[in-house]
Amino acid sequence: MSERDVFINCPFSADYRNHFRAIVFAVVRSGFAARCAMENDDGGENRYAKICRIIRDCPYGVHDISKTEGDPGSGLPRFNMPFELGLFLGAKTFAGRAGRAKKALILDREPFRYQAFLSDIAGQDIHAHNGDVGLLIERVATWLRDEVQDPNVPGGRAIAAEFARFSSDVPAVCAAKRLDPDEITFKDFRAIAAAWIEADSARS
Amino acid sequence: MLARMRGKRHHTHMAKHTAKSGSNGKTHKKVAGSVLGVTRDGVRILNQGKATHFTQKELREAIRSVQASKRAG
Repeated sequence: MSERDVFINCPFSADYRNHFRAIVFAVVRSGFAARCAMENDDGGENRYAKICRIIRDCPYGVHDISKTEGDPGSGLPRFNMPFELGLFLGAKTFAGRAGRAKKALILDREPFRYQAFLSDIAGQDIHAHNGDVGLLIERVATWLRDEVQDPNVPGGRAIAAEFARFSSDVPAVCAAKRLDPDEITFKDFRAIAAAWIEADSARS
Repeated sequence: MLARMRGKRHHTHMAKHTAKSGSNGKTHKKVAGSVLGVTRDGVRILNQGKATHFTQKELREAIRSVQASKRAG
């Protein structure tokens, strides 16, 4: 959609929810728009087409490939994150000038761990977050600030502190609409984050 | 010293660019989202689009109410 759209490619499972929301918050707080495959629910558009459309729109991509454990139900790992990373890198390689301008941040839990399960991306700069939400925010915010050379964007640790305050407010914001924080959609969450950041800045 | 927060909403648009979309290859303009506000440190917070369960007004009111009750202790 715009030159500030960021495609977020990460697990959507409950055990990763806080990490996912931390990435969205860091993206919004850094002056970007967060996008992902959960942004609309159009039964007429298949998932692959939707992902391709979003990747086409987004000059930036944040890819967290850290979740390699088997699904509790099936015991099998989810391959969606490496697949969508491959699509993004493919767009960067094959989609002409607009594609070449795409930038990707690739995250894993530990440095070099990816070489054991995704060795085709060896040589790429992979950033480790050790499963820590604060470090994850720091990685995302630092990368975005570096990409757009915007000195106004605060440091990742300051954003992580804001995220902690924000997270404690979310249940009360949801309660205003009789919603459980776990049932809000991605569209709700990114809108709440943007409105909260704006209001918080006006207040402080 | 941090820059002063500009409280009013900004409806300026960021730069436009063109992009091809759809199978017919038609070119049309895509406009970036509007700016919801600017933080005290000068970061433009982009409007992230419509929420599923909230209108923008409801969101602002809910957040204002939560923050006021926190201040009141």
